[in-house]
Amino acid sequence: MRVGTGGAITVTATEVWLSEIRAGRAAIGGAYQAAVAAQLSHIQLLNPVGSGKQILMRYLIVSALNAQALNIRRYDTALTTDSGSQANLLLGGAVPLGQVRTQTNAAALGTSLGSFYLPASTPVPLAPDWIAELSPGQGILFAGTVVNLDLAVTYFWREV
Amino acid sequence: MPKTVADLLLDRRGVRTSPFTNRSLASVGVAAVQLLRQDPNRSSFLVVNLSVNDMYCGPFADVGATKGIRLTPNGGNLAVFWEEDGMVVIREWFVLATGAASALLVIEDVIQPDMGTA
Repeated sequence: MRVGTGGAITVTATEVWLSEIRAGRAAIGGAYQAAVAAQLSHIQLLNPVGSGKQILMRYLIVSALNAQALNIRRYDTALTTDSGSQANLLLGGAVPLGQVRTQTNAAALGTSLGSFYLPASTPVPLAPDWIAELSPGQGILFAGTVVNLDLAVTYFWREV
Repeated sequence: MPKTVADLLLDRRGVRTSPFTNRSLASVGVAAVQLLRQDPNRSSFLVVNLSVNDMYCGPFADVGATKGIRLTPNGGNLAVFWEEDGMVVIREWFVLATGAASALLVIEDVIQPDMGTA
């Protein structure tokens, strides 16, 4: 048997992302949650139950008008409002199954996975190679820690 | 009349062969599927990984990352010949990838018993 290695022994996340964009399996979706008195803002990326797809979060951009600490939280229940913002990054391609949803709540929803400090009016990109994988019925959200503050998040992901 | 390649093959091997492309599949996902059906007339094959994901193949159904021949992304390939590898070339082969909808190319060279023998 003769085995050839082809053009690359491994590929970078960027090469995979480019390939997925061109194949119509890369998606974008974002939302803005306005400040509500006595409520914390939440913006979620949800892989709906029964989607039949895995969602791999590529990167995201998060910002808010005012400085605050943010939580990244695991929350599998759909937030109340579907932003309907998701779009295929191969423009005109099939609408992605992942949903970006918003909600406010007096207390933070879900289980905290981590926190970081967000400066005022300064978009923060979170861009490791890959962030997380969501199976159908799973979701991740960002939640503020100070009530009555807004929040904006844009997610980028691939569906496989 | 000048000989064709088919004639030369008949002279050298005693049989004629024809190439076939992607007889079983053209893409594979994360579950093992048949790459090549068992065919006693297959004299050789070439499989090329056209995707950005790793692939693993082998002549067994439980192929995987811990049991299989790795085809690296973007052109990793495997060529098997009866003269070098014996009966394994005619076996049923299986393949899986580390990502969904991973494209591959398979070319088989198959003896054509109805096309005459030497």
